[in-house]
Amino acid sequence: MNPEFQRNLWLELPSHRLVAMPAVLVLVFFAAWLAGGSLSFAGAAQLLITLLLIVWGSRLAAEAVLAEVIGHTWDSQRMSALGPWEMTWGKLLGSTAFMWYGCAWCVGAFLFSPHSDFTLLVRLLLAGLEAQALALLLSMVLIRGEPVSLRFQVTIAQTVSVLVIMPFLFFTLFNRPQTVHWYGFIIPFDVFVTVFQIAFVGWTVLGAYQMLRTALQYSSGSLTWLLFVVFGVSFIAGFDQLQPLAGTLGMPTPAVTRLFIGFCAAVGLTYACALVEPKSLVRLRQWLMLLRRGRIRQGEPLSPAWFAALVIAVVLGLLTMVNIVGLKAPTAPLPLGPLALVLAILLFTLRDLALFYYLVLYSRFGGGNLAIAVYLMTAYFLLPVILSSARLDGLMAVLVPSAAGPPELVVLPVLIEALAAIGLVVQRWRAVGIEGLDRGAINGQ
Amino acid sequence: MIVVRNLIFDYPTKRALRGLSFEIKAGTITGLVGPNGAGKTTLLRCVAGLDTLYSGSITVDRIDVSDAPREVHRRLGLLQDDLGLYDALTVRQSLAYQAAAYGIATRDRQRRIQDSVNRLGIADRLNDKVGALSRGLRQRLAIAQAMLHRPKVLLLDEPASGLDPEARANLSDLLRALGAEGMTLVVSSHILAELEDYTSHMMILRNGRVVEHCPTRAPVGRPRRLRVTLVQPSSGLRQCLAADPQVGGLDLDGASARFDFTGDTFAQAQLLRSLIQSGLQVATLQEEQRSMQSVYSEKMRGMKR
Repeated sequence: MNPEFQRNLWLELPSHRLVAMPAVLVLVFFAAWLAGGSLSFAGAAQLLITLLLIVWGSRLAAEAVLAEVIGHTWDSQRMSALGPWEMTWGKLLGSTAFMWYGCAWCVGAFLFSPHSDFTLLVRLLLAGLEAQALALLLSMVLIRGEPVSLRFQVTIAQTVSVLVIMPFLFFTLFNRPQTVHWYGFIIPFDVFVTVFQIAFVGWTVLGAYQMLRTALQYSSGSLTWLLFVVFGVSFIAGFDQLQPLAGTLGMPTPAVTRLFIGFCAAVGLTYACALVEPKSLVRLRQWLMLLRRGRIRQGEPLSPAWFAALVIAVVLGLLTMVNIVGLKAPTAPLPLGPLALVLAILLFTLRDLALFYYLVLYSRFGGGNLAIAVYLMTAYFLLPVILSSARLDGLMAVLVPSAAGPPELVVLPVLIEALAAIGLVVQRWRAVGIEGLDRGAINGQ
Repeated sequence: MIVVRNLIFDYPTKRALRGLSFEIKAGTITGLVGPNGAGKTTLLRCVAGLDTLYSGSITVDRIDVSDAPREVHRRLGLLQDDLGLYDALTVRQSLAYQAAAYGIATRDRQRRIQDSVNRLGIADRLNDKVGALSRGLRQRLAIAQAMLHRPKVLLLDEPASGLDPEARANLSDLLRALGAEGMTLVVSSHILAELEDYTSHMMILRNGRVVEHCPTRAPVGRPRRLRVTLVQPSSGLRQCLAADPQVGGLDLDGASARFDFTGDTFAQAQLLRSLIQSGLQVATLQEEQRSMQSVYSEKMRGMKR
């Protein structure tokens, strides 16, 4: 048996727990039956599956690695002969074994109820697996970042996982639309969501596998991340319901609108990745040093993962602009509004990435993520609110990408800001980068 | 066995290792000493391939740690200061997990576990919960785990911290026995007197640099440092010692003298005889071991000057 799974079973399923869980569940079901008959019985089973797999299970999955770090056993695991796949499923299913054991009793009770709904059950179980896989993945992402309280990191991973799964739960339990319009196809909602849930589980497990692979010091490429970005962009761009929303921005055809939505999705993934990945000065130095020495494969785990998403965003942005220009009538004026919007979004992204790194390079302790959060809050919330309150909406294009403002006001200020931000990063890197550090080391700093 | 070249390692606010270079030969026991923050633990983690180097190289058993960390892990055991044990498991489960996780063949596992617990003196604790063990027993279990896959190199970070005198003596015996079997050991510790019991070499780190790496005992063929003490000072002592061609580096201090002596123990007996025949009242003549503490203190003083 997989040693990691075996160890987790020893820890999670001692004999007293094997007895206690069904005893408590039987009491809950009995109480539900007394309170409201078979309907409450089925409802209690649904609620218990949700609580066990999603709320509690995601916490246990988040602790699967973080508890090893807290208990100082993680290094020993990293040095063991366990492979990343053994580690992934051993931790994912092993750390949550007690929850799945309780869930098995609930499933039995649910199927016993005359109100059982098999599709609903499958989707609840998938949602549980999604939440747990996502919590494991997030915990792996978090331990690479700034050294903060590990218990706090467990809570963050659990909370984010539960929040991400909430929409699935909402549509599963309370409001199930009939159909989804995706790339022009009309797909039954249950089929669409179930397939998407399976894909989501696949991607999160693959993500956790990649993170563990890196932690166990196997060489890992960026292909998985690149494929995920392509999947994410293609998936989001497919929703026909987003067409009218993006169409108001002046995109000439539905196909160009879809390109624009994909572009925005890629930008979103670039930001998400840049925010969560570790960005310490030491990592940057190590990565660039490995590149200098020609050890490109070794340096891949240290390379900025947002870069792949940014490249896809740039490609989609350029394609959108080319199509906007190409599809206009020969006599019609150039549609500067949408062109300026796409360009501005790209420039805002570049500016923000540069400023993230400037803050990281400027921060003496840790990775500067708090400073980045303050910066984003100020740039995209506080300043726009102040401008709006001062009735200076005309200047809003300086602060956020806009299709409504004069094109020169939409593009020029952010172009200057982006160049200035890049200049700041270059200047800072000269002071603290490889050469700066080596100078400091020679001086005994 | 371990070759380190120009090793540099950085933390976000500090360069922890500053261009270290050294070699540790197979079968030696090296005591790694230095003040807090000198870089001892960081060095052990780098050798174990747990942290990414900024630059330089480390090879263990001729395998580059940066190129093939997983290969190095198979040849290496690491005992960290905090032990890293699963308190909720029994001793038997902990060792069974470790054996399986380190890829020991199923047919060999039981025998290896039994060998380890016998050797470490914890055979009667197999069914105890790890969390219920004393610090000394936990230490033994952690060592049993670290050497279960029979590594060629064992790195130990402060293995004696928190142990009572008896447990420390047991630990010293164990490490000496492992060294005698040919295992290469690197032991980081603050307790120099204890390291002296079993180490063959000492490495002093300070501010991320190696300031001394030397054998703790004079190798065969090298002069030994002798010390003669008279009952009362005598001017004849210098004359008598200076006349012997095997004596060098003479250092007189009142009624005693320290000197390097190239002769063997027979020659040492002859020297004693000649001193007595010269009418000197010899109280003692003995080989002087430079303690690790004295070497360490000298080096630290030298660095501060």
